[in-house]
Amino acid sequence: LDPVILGLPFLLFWILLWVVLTPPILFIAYLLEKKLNRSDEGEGE
Amino acid sequence: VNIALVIIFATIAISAGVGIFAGRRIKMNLENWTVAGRRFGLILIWLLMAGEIYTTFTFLGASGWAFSKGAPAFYILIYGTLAYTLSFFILPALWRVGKKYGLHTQPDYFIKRYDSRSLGVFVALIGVFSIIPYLQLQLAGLGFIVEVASNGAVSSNAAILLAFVLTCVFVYTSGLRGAAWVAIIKDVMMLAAVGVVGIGVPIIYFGSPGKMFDALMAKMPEHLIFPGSTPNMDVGWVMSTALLTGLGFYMWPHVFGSAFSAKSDKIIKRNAIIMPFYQIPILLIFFVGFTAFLIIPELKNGDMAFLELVNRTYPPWFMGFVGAAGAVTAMVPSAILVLFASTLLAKNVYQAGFRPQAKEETVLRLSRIMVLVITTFALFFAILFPNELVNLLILGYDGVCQFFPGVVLGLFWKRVTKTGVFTGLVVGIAIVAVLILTGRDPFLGMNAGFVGLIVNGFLTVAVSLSTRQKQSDTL
Repeated sequence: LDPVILGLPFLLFWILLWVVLTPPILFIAYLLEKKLNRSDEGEGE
Repeated sequence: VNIALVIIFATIAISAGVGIFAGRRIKMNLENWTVAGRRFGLILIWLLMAGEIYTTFTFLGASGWAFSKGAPAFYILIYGTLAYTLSFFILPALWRVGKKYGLHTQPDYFIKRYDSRSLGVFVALIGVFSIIPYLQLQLAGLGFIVEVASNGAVSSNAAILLAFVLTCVFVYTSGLRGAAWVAIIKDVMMLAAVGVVGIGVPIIYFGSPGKMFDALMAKMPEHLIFPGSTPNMDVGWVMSTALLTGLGFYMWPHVFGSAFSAKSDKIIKRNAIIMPFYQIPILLIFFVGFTAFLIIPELKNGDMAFLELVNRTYPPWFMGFVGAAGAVTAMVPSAILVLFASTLLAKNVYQAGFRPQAKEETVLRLSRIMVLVITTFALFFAILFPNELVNLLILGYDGVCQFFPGVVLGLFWKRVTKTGVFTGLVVGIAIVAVLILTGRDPFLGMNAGFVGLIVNGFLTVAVSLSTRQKQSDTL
């Protein structure tokens, strides 16, 4: 239950943290994938 | 004049109008009707997917679970995020296959990938069987929220009848486009209602959400850790359920089919990136449930927590706004469910099963007739036997999850065969049905659907390795 972060109990904060981190992580995956595809096939968007 | 009533009816009528308007000047063929001609950009896809995922029952249920069960409700945050992450990897590949072969539905995919019409018919029947209770739940949620929000001035049945007949009309005329356009209204209203109540209620009663949690931790700290206020929803339950529902999420025929309506595979990918942001309103809903836990602990029915708290806190017109938002929030998923159930029956049961030579116009005409049939059937059930189908929903969810190996292995593994998928699917569904119908869910502490999925996946791989399929059949 402790520590309380941003007013949220830790369990809820921890789950929420990963929810909020998912979009940036996927975005990085998206950029990486685009870069790799381009160098593989020389194909631009 | 009852102001709540006016707001509710005006919203339902305007939504139906927008839905019908969405299909004007579009020459309807099957492609336009079921997958909107594969023309949706990022915004419409996002709204459409959010529209079918975040239903009236999500909102009533999420606050209800936070109220009555506590921490186990957090699994909703987890499985949605898992599902979106997964969709980032699966849906773009699926979309490309759909585009290449002009697929409209989930059984279309099975038919093409495994070159088996009987597999397609089987998948379609399981799909329709799973959709009907889901549709039922939407109707029940709609009736419930309108009846409570109008303070009993509109009976649940009258609300269901009116809203669903209008939904049926715009599905008939506009197909998936109608649902996507109405989803715009739905999202704006629902987010406004959730924002106002979710942020407002903890501030009004406690000063801030943080102070609300302080009060909750002082009163009953165990409500906020697993298993919360339940006897059996501990970490194992949360993990197996979140995993199963996360995997099975995009296996729902209507969610699966909606993916084909995107303009490109990149749109689908970008959509997967932003979808998790839609989980934040769920957090606000939890705030409402927890506040209700502190303010109205005597409440019997957890699903009433959101509405009861609004009723106590806000003026009647706002209650009407919430009721209207709830009604549209049920109409959008209902529309998509009816649309895909109809197409499954017309295209994948009738055409694939009995008349492969049927023309596309015939299939479209039949799909539209099926909209009327399914609407009538669902209304009949909703009004005469409102509670009979709810238990079937779990069966439906665990059932569609069994499509997972067939879909995903089909995309990424060349060796998987029709016989393998058929065997896994039949055995997986049999296990799920037996465990649930004989009351053995959870089985050995695991979700019954999860047990079925493990056996299913194993059999699919094992049988595929020992059988062979003609080379030309791979996509």
